[in-house]
Amino acid sequence: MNAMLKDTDQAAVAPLAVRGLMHCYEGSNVLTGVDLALEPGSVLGLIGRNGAGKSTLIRAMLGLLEPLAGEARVFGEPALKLSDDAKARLAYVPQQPEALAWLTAQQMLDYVGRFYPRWDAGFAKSMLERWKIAPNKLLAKLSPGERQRVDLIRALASQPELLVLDEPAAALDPVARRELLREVALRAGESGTTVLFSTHIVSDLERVASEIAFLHQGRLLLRCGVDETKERYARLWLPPRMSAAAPSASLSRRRHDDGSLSLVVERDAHGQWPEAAQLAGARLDAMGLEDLFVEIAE
Amino acid sequence: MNPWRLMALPWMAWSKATRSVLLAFTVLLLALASGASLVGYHRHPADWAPHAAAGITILDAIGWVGIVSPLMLLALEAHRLRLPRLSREIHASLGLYALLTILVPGLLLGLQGGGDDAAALTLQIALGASLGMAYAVAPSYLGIVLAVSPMLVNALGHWLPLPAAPAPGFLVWAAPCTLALWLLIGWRWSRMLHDEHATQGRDMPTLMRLRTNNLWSRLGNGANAETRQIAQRANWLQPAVDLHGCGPGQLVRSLRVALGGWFMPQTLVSRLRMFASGLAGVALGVLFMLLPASSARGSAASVLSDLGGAPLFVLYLGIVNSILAVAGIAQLRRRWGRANAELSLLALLPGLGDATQTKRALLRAALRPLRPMLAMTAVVITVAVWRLHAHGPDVVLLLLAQGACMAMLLALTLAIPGGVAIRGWRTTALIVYGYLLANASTALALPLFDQGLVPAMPAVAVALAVSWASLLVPLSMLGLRGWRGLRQRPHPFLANA
Repeated sequence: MNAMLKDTDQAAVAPLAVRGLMHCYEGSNVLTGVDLALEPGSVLGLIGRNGAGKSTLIRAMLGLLEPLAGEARVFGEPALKLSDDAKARLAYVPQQPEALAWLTAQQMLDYVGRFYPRWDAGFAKSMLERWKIAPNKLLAKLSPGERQRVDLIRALASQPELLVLDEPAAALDPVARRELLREVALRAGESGTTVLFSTHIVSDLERVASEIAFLHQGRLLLRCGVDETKERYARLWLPPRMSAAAPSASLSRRRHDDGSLSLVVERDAHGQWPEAAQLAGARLDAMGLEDLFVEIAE
Repeated sequence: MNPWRLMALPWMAWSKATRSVLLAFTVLLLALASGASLVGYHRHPADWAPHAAAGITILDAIGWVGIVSPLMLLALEAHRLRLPRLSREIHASLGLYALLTILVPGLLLGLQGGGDDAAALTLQIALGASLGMAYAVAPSYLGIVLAVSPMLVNALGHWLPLPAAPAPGFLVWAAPCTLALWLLIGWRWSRMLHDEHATQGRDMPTLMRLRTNNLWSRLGNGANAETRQIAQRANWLQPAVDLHGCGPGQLVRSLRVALGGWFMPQTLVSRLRMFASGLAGVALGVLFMLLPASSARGSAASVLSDLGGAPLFVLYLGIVNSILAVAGIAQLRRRWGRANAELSLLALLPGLGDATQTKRALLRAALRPLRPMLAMTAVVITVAVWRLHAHGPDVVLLLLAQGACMAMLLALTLAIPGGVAIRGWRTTALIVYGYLLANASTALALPLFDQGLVPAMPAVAVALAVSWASLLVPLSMLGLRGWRGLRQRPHPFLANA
């Protein structure tokens, strides 16, 4: 009975949640009050420009840095004081992994594997062979792409319930990237692994993510299902004479040289576009994920 | 072309931090050389010119390694980035430095001596510069030649007329030799520009190795330099980890693996291999000291006695102690200077227990070098008291010096995971100061000088007291702040970068 209650509790708790997260480096704000929670089993793609604060957000979410304000929780526990149980359920792959350069790939996997109760040594071995990584080569002597792959193997072999990947495909070739995405999708679909990954590559998001969160200048500008974006957001173009009718709430606003206005607008709670979209001469264009990203980020 | 820009060009190849250190070192060296030169001129004006030329030769050799040779790195970048104007400026800069450091001093000294020796003196200086440049562009494994250079000079002195000899004899061999060296430099330079393999692996020039593997980058947060170092090291020189006994139940041993370097547990074979390579290095050093002695002093026995003499033995142990402390600190600074490496792995690694247990285990792992340091201190004091019959002030100074090395390691082991004093040059300066003071004090406490009981002299005692206070006070503050910081941190694996 107790075990059942515990299971129910664990299922209800968000694997990863932050509230009011704020952080700054050398006086400049990197995160300005971020709220975000991941549903169990979801695959959330975190997208944003360079320097938007993605890595900082991920590091703060996992308790790898102390934020100036706000709270981060992993499986309901404070991120900065995680229990061994919570740590055993999560895996994180940083951008450009550099750890333990003095060990060989095999030694590193052997060393780390001893700490994880559900470590899949067979998977680690087969992945090393599949990705043609010499097990006895020092990590320092591997290429950046190979090191990233070894770290991905390390993360996946621990069979995590929560997988956090910071720009996982940055150093991978297209084949390895496709294989990684397939593995992530497989884990999420079959084992119900919750995945958070940051990327610049919009096509990667479209391939595996169920949701996207867009981080811009330390703020979370939007969060929605990947399939919803085309339905929910659009580009509204207003000719110069109608620019005064532009809605005040928009995700981006750009005035062209001829005085016309382009805005990224969102449907309201009743599924309606802003009134200005109904005006004669106004134009509403559907947007792909990449267009949406570029419009907002510019 | 702006001559100031041409003068500044080689300095641009170094990082800002290295450049400042190099500049300070250059100014200091030039000031000392000028002072010595002035004193020499007043005391022996007759034979001042040849001595000054010898001094300039040595300065040029050092200068062309440290200052002028980096032009080659710039040339490499200019070639890769297709910047022809920069390439032209580099050649002009090289010419300007040759003019200012070889031709002008050679001719001035020659004229000062009446003009007869101008060619020989200029050639001598050119030889020094070419030796420096050749050392910088040669593959780094040829650096061993530098270690045997005193022996070479002594040996060559028996059958080659050196600069002090009458000029014609010197000119006969030095002129073609200098020309050959410059041709060799030109060939290496051109090869490095056009053949990528000439700048990699075993063939990598000493200069390129120095850029990433210098003392400053080792003491700083040069974490990438460490990875590069491991990648460049031959496999048989890599320490092999012993993972036996690592795992959730063995926190200290497991953390030692993650700290790497000197902290890492090694297999027996690896330990033996490291010991053997260290021993081979020491044996080589001893050999190089013995060989010139056998010809120059006539008796290797006196050198052997010096090598085995108790004062020098104690000094060597003291130096090893300080190196252990500095190496341990440098290693910890690198670990806590990188956000995406060992710290994130350790912070999320299950099985390390709660934060208090982890902090305790981490301190035990990081303070492990204290064991050999304590053992060496015990040997130092025992030899000083029983063999050298050291007096009270000497023993106190020796204890202070060895204790300070351990205190430095302790303070920084608290301060680094405690999140204080990582960035900036102040901590590095404090470590360098501590290292120099500890070794200078050890040397002062030993009967290496004519006067005995140096620390007991009032002026020396006051100077030592002030020097030690200026080290121990900030060190204590750092340790205390580190202790508080570490206690307050939710876990010890928060990066300081």
